[in-house]
Amino acid sequence: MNRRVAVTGAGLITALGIGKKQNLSGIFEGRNAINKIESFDIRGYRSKTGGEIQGFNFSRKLRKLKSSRLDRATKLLLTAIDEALLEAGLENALPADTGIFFGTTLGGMLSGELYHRNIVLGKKARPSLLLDYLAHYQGIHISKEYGLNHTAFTISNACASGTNAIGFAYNEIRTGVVNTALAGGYDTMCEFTFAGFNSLQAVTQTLCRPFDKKRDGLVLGEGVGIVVLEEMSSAVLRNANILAEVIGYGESSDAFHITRPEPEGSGAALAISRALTSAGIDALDIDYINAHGTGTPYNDVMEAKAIQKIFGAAGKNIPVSSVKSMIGHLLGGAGAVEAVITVMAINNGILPPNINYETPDPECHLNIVHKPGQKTSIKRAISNSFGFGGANAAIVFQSVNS
Amino acid sequence: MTKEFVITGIGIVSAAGIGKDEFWDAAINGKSGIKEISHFDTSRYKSHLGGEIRDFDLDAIFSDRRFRRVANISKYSLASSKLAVDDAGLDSNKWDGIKVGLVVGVTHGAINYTREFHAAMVKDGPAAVSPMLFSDSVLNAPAGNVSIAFNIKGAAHTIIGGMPTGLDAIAYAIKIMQSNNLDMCIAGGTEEIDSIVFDSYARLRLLSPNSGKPEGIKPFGIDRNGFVVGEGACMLVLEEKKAAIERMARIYAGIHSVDTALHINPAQSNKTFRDIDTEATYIAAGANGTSKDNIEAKVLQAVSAKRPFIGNIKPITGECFAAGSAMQTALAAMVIHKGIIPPSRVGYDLIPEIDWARFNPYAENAEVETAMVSSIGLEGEGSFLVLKKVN
Repeated sequence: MNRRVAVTGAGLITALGIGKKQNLSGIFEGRNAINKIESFDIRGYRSKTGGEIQGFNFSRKLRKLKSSRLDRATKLLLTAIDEALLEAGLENALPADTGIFFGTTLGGMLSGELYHRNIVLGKKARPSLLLDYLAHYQGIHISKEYGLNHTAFTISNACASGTNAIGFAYNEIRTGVVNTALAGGYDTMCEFTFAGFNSLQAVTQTLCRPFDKKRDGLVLGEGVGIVVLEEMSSAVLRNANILAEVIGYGESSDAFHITRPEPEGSGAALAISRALTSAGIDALDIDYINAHGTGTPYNDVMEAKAIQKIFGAAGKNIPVSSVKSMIGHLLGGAGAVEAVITVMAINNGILPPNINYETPDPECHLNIVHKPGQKTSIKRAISNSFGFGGANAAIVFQSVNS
Repeated sequence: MTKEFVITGIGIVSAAGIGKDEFWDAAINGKSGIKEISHFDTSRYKSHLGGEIRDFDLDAIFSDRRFRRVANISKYSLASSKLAVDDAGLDSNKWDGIKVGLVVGVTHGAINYTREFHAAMVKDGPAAVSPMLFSDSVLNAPAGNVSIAFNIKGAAHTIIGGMPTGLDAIAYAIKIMQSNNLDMCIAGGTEEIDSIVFDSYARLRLLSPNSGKPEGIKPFGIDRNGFVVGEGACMLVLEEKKAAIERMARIYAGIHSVDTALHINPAQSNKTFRDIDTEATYIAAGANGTSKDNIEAKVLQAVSAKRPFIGNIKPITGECFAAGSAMQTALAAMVIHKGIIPPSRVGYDLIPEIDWARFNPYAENAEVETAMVSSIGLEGEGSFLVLKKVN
């Protein structure tokens, strides 16, 4: 079986805003959403900034769950899923056999952190904090709230998780296992990861500048990206508004190093080429590359090499950008948020900008979209994600007009 | 035409034994690895037992300086992967890594390192934390380490979930072998015991003894009073049947199906598990002495046409979460391959919901054509895997 897969709804929360609309204006303007960290004490850390979501107040009525037991991650998920279902017109008609496919690296780490912090400091730790800590509990909670009984699949392949989750959901619909999927990724800003990336000296003390010669590290962000995927013919039959089609997905593993990517980009190139092959298209059919582009010295040159391997001479012309320059690195949420932004780029005919880009790096010989507000027609776009442990993934979206 | 996949290698690191032969011997002779916990102090708890891995030396199984300081969960994963690859008669130095995949099922992850890193951060501040602990604490660190150690480039995934996750990893491995056109995949589960996990389950009143009765794990027992924690890893080598036959590999069993569901309702088992093969004569059950045992018993009855023997490894390994259901699969595959059903050694009264099934006091010789592995998680999510004898 080889069925087609439509994106019929999307939900997005990043430091640029809550909802697609808020994010779209920020992406169009090339707004910097990186600010001083507010949610914990940053004294003693090398870097002080991050992409925290501003003004998120959770007041949604819950049907099955208790708000007091939910981690911030689940609250963000519920909000983004509501947005995605509303756009898909499925807010009151989501089939019970809809599959849940999530990617995350932390799950409900904020709850776990608070629980453990209290134990370490000899204070009272509420056991209820444990009920939404483990990384598969968010999916289980979502299944309860929306009355879904098929699967709550959680994948954790570091920073590729979000792309893996959407890619797996695409394959499950394509091969007839499910007809509808809620797929995406999420991660919250927490001190645990902030301290970890600081200790690895992977964070910038200035600005996140993907592909710039002066790039010196990533900046962390938080957020959620969700897509509603449906089997194409049933989406057409119910007159759903189709945002885009998922046409290909590829993955691979570096087998190289636990934190560093394979420097020649061969693992990343394999994931990209598998995505293009499964889409049945040529590299030259791609109009926009939504890069992983973390702003670390290692990743960006590796990614540039991978792009050049696959796209050849054209790799220097295809527009490339990393939205991490604006919202930071969302880890398990990154691939999903960037997938939603890629679909928004297709829908709105805009190229998301790679801000803070000033000095070209001859080692990253790419057509970096450094000016905001550029309009263009995008028929097909690819979104790349690469993570710790050598996890690589890429996904291809196509506009419905093509 | 759908491809068929088979199990050709088994690697186990458990309290009941390291390597499939020790594990099988423990199952036949009822040698339990459950003892008083030694990794940390349990004096302030009612629970003191655990299935800890002891006398484990990674170097003796897989010697590679790069992994000397990795978390226990990664060490168990590396050792069980190495044992599985050797058992399958394969050599990772000779295979084309692009054709090999990896799926690791995890419930809690490298919780020791996570706890140590976090405690240093809280107590001593940012300057005190270790980058090594951080990079090895991430949920996909075991998969990352195994992929590096065994040159696995086709795909390497970590899937997160409760007890059924070892089965979900096998189901997922079969899917990624097909979508990526891989020759083989290492798949299973891995877990490590830690004081914080122990503390959490004790507070949630899931650990034995949560009643006045003595401590101990009694699957399907009337007097069951919670589970006993365990740790370890179990990795299986999965290959396409045709390729395995061509290279004359020893085949333990074929993977017939994996069915999953959330919020299992036993009354709807037949509807939920429509594709399940009901001919199983042996079931490696996942019951762990919690309230979910009743549900599992009812579902198994609903999906069993025969009167199967019921086996359970948890009295010898403890509850190993994602690794546990992979170990159950290894046991069921060995039952099919050897034609021997280990004794169930139930020295206690069983719940009436399971009285339809068979429990054997002694090992029995039996041709098992179909075996089932069942696992239900704490939130009522469950997976059921069916294995078939390959002739």
